Amino acid sequence: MAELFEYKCPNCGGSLQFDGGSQKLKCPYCDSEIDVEALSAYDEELNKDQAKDEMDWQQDAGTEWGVGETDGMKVYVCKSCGGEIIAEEAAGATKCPYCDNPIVMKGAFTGSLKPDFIIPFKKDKNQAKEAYLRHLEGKKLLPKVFRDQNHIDEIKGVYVPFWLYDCDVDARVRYQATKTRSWSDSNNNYVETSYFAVSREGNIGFDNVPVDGSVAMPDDLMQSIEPYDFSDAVDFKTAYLAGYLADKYTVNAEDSIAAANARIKRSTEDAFRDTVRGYSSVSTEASSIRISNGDTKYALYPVWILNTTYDGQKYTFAMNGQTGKIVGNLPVDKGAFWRNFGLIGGIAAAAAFAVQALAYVL
Amino acid sequence: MKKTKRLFIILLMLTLVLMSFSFAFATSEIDRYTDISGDKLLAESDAEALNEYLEKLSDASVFDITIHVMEEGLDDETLMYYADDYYDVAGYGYGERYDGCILVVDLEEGSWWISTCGFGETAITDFGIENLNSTLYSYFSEGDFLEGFMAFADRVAEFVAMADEGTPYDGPATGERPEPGETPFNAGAKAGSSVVIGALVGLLSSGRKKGKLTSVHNETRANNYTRPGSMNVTGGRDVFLYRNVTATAKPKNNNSGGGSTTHRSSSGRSHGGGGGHF
Repeated sequence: MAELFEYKCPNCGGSLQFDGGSQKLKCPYCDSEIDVEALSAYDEELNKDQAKDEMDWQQDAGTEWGVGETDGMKVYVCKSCGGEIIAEEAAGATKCPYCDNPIVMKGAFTGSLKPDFIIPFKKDKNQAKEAYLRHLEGKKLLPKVFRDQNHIDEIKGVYVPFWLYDCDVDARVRYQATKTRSWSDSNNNYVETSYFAVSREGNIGFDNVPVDGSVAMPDDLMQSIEPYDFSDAVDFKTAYLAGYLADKYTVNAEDSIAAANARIKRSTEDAFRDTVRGYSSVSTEASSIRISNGDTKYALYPVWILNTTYDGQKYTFAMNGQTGKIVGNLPVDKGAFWRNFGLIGGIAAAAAFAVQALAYVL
Repeated sequence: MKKTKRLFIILLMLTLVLMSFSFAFATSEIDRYTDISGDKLLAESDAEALNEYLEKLSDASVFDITIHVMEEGLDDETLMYYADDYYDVAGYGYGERYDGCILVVDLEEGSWWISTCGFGETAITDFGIENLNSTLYSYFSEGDFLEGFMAFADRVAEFVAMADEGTPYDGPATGERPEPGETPFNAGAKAGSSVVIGALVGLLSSGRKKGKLTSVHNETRANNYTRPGSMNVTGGRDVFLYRNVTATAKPKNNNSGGGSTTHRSSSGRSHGGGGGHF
């Protein structure tokens, strides 16, 4: 039985018909005309979209602890938020870095993975305090009381567990691009838009894409203090932990993969989009990526943390212990917000009125 | 014979001179301000002064500017015909086309009509009529008839002067803006729009300052972790699909000032004009 081939119009989705006069495919619904060869090329590209993402990771991060390596390290647990902290017995840790509540020593530190790498603290406590004070400067709508009322000495240095992902990516991305040209005659302004199906194939590599392995550390906070420079990383030794707290990972590598995959895919699409030149607009339509040589590592990254409570709300600040970048949302002084609105708004309204009056008179 | 011929020529010239005088007299004898109402609207001295003023302006403009006051209580359409007819019968108008205009005020009805004739149709367009109407209203509603008549005469003279130069007052087409006295500075609306602008600017300013307080965001990309030099494009295709053209009409200079609306009076002459109530 004869089959009816149907090709969809890339503009409106209607069924295209071959027009003998122009020897092109025409859409009876939107009047678009497409070359036969162009359409078959487009069709091929669409078929390639069928390829699904393949993301296979080797999951062998972390090693077993050696004998004697965990002596003197204790696990503390916070009854309030459930966070588990590892610290030397001598560190005398008493408050949870996440929620400021007292923590209790749980027992000896056994059973979990030993990190592969660690980036030691480069910024010390004084630098962290200075950075915090600078963070508060220049913020006009910050309540004055907040500035005065902070227990800055309670800033803590914590090593946060991260899963790091390396991989090679084979990618194929399809974009829709347009070129526009405009002209006018005595009656009308014309805009001609030409549509293109653009595809790019290639490969790209990623190293040490970090995903926060601690549930207690908010992901967006950790993402905001990125990037970390892995070139400062060294093989892990417990000695580096001295004087600092370390967090146990509570999210395992498999669960973190989804987050890593999403970021890698997005960056790949962006990277290839940069190679599409000469168009007035480009947008991603579909992409398929295949990950190979995926490797996972377990590392501890340094973070200075400060928790403050203000007006019943908790505010957490984090500083990248390697680069010094500090982030943290600050409260808004509602009164100052509206005072500023009134002042600036009032001046603007007066100016607008004066300008209008002047224009009328002149 | 020579003496009689001489006398005859002198007499002829005298007659001609006298005739021209009488012609001049004839025009100056025409009252340009007429009032047939029971209680005269203006005092006699004012009426005389107005008449002289109208005569002076009309002669200077070569355009008859006339005013007639009555109290017949006519509706708008009848008033229009009344004005046309009065103008025609009174013999107003300069030249072959009877260039001029008349303002008829109906005290009973509280309305007026301006009728234009000849060059008046060119000089006083529909826009001009609107302009005159708003001027008259502002005076008549206060009861200042004399001032209103004077303002009317002055304005008409201006219109005629503009038309003589080739650019009759025709609203936006001439780029003329109404004088400050006519459209009052709407302080209420201007204040309102200023407040809105102020509110927007205030919100923008406060919003921006508030934005500075937030520094925690999600990071959706891994751009910082791209292996340098690892990106390699192995293939790609740019396929042209189709094109479409959109046309947007250019805004046409809407010449809403389009001359004057005219009609024919009972005498068959073409008149323009318009009226109002106070």
